[in-house]
Amino acid sequence: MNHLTDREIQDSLSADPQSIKEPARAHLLTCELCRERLAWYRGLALRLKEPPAVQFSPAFAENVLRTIQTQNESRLFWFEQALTGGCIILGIILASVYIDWSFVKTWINQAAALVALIPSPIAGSGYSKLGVYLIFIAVLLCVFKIADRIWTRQRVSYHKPIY
Amino acid sequence: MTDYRPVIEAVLKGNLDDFKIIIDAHQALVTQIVFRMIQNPADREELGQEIFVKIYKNLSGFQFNAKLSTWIARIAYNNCVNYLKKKKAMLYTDFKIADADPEDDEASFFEESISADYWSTTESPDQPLIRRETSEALSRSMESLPAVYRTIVTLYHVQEMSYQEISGITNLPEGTVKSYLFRARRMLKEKLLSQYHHEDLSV
Repeated sequence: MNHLTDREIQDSLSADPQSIKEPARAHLLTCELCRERLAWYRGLALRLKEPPAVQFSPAFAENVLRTIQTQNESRLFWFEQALTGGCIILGIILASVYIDWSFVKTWINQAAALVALIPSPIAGSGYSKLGVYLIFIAVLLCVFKIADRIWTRQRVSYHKPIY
Repeated sequence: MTDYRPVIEAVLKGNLDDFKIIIDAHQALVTQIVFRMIQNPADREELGQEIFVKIYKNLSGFQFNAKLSTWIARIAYNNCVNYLKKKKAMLYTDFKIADADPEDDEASFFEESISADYWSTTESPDQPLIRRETSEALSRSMESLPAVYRTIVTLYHVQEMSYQEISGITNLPEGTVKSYLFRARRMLKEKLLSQYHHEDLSV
């Protein structure tokens, strides 16, 4: 007597007894060993149905929502920055068309004259001192911007699970 | 089948709180996929969060002609596969059984002296203890399977998904899914019975 193969036994697993293919069904009726094998696989399938006792941390859903919220805020922050920058550039372009900029030259002259009065280690005329100070302020702003970007990245990084 | 259309529409309109409904309804599914595929406990939680963030970002692309659970499971599965590829982990590695002749199993069967009593279906005072032991043995055996096999077994038996759904999630042909499921159960049987006989001999 040829016993059922393992595949035939497994094929009989999901099917209801009536729909098991005929040669296998007839064999199962007469062969106790193959019935035992099928019963073993049924036992396995039944045990596999039990969901594994696994779960994320209790605060999982809150952490996901917080991450999304932070990312949304971050996107909004950069959108606002870009919008502000765009407005300023557009304003300057428009203003340059209609405004007489000679008063700016007067301001620069006045500022240079004032800077020349400040005792400082930088040698040179008021104009060159003013230029150096402006570069210094620009560098400071860049450092501030980079620090802000790093901080923002840390904010959007995934929240560590809370156990 | 739950209709998530109103919830999804609310989320897309910017109501983030409604996304919690989707998380709560599918957390168990994603958990099972992640825990079955990823063996490093430290990475599971972060990967789980990453999956749900991706689901949120791609929610506008969800077509309502598919089940939301299948779509979510596909995202979870793909994320886990990408993670495993990065880690160069065992995905499909088959054991010797993969190439075994299906007819061979008839001969080996007689050496196994298999018994349905293994699952302790009969009433006895020791039943809870035996049941716990077999559950632990099954859990250990599951862990030793390749990641894809573990996932397919979970999707089929725990989530009660069809071959077609699993095929849609894993992007594997239905025949392959069926074949992997067959091999996975066969491997579980071999592992469980070898442990069983080993313990039997040691008593």
